[in-house]
Amino acid sequence: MCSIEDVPNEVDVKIKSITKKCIKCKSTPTILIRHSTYCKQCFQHAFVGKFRKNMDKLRSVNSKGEKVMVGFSGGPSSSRAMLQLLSDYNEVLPNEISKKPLFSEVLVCHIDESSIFGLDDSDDHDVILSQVEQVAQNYNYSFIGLQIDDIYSPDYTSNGSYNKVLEVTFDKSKQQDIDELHAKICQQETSTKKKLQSLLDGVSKFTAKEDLAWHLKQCLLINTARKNGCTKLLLGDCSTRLSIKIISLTSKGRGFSLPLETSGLNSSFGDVTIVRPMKDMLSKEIGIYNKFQGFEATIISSLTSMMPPKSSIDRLTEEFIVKLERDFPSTVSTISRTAAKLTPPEFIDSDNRCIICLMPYQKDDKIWQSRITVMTTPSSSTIVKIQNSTSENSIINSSTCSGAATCCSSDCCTSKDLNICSLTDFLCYACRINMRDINSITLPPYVSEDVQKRSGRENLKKSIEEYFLNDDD
Amino acid sequence: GGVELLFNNVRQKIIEIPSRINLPKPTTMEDLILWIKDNLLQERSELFVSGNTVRPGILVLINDTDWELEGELEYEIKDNDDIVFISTLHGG
Repeated sequence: MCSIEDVPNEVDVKIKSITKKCIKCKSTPTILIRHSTYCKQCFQHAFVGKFRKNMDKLRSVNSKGEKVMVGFSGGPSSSRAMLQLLSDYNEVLPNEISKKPLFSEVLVCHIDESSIFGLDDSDDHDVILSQVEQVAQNYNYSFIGLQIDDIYSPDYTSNGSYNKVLEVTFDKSKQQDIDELHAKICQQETSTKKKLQSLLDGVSKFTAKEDLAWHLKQCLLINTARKNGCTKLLLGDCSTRLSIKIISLTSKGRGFSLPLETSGLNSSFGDVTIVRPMKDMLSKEIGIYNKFQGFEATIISSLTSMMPPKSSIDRLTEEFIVKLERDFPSTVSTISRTAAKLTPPEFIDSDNRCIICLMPYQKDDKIWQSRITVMTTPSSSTIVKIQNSTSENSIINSSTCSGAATCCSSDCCTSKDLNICSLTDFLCYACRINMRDINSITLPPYVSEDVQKRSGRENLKKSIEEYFLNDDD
Repeated sequence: GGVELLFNNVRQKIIEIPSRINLPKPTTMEDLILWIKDNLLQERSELFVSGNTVRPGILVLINDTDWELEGELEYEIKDNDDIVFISTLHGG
């Protein structure tokens, strides 16, 4: 196997630049993407062409003007390029009166994550916000700026006024079963910023922190799109970012929802379709396009900026794939092509969704997990517990519930608190794993609203269970 | 991209470097990167260089041309060359 460290001798280098031509117009090439060389104009032409191809898939026969929302993080690569491409795609030139623009209105939504770092009062923060708003105004698009701690306000629940939060504590000292999650719905009077900070402080691992932050953002974006009547949500994930996501989601145990989280078109949320038009462009192409267009990038830090590679799974995967891509340029496209063959699960109803990440999960994956997990050494008591799981579980859960009445020691919870048994039944496998890292956290209202609905339904089902006819009757 | 964070937020710099750092060969990109690391990098050098080349994920454009087409590290720098480092690792 030839070594990558070989220094190319001069003869090789000269031959490379003479024989390579732009594959479209045969002039001198200036850009190398994967194994093809392009000159500047052909590169830009091909780049725009990829975007248009993905957008044309959205056109259907009866499409009238739709409202779309663009998720704009303001980072250097995708969103900035996507806005420019979108505005070029959507504009109607004066000589093309018969052509109708696909989108009647475009809203740009930016979620400000500075509360995560506690940077609310610094000057840099305001500069970044105004830069982002300026960018949106350059295209005459309406701008919606949100703070990530807004997820704790009641505006983002389905009925619009649900204000209670879900307090979850995990007793690490017992270490017996994942069922040891004490959950309680109660009212809390602290500010949204403080709630968010306590949520992230209560989680120890960075992987779980990043996951939670992403789920909160996703919920915010979808609910904002719904509230504003947008039928489509455009996200700017490039193919490099998507293949990093594919590998890291697989490592975190989210393979079941992987086809939904990484596909170009995701209609599992019903009224809002999530579209990723940049999924065929490498981050390198986007970086070069931005440079040619002269875009100034705003600097947005994330939780793991400037951190060593092993700080979280996402960071490690990013390091791995980017390094591999440099020496083997077809890595990203191979990963994307392979993952595109996965089909999403067929039945997605509201009962089958994880309450935190809003993605579908498999039924009975909890039983599977308890079977493969070894938490204590096998003793007679544990074996008895598993065998009588269905009947015993309800007894065990009710005893932990009565114990949970003392779990919340703060005075701000009212007496109308609702204790939730079997919270883990409503979580997908990966979110359950994340719950292992917590001490005591407060989940936002959209989670507690869902939990209340679902446990209400479960209780109702149990009370009329004996009246159900079996299939074989 | 975000590379300027490592350089104390200075985006552009016209530098004069000696035309022969490693006699008798003329100055190449490899020498430039090492020079930047020693003279201009304010912190966290492992986020910019990896070994004797740039970290994967950082694009280099020489006069608007991909450096891989110019020989990467072996390219000899000429007067008034415009060299751009772009980070592709954040945002979306």
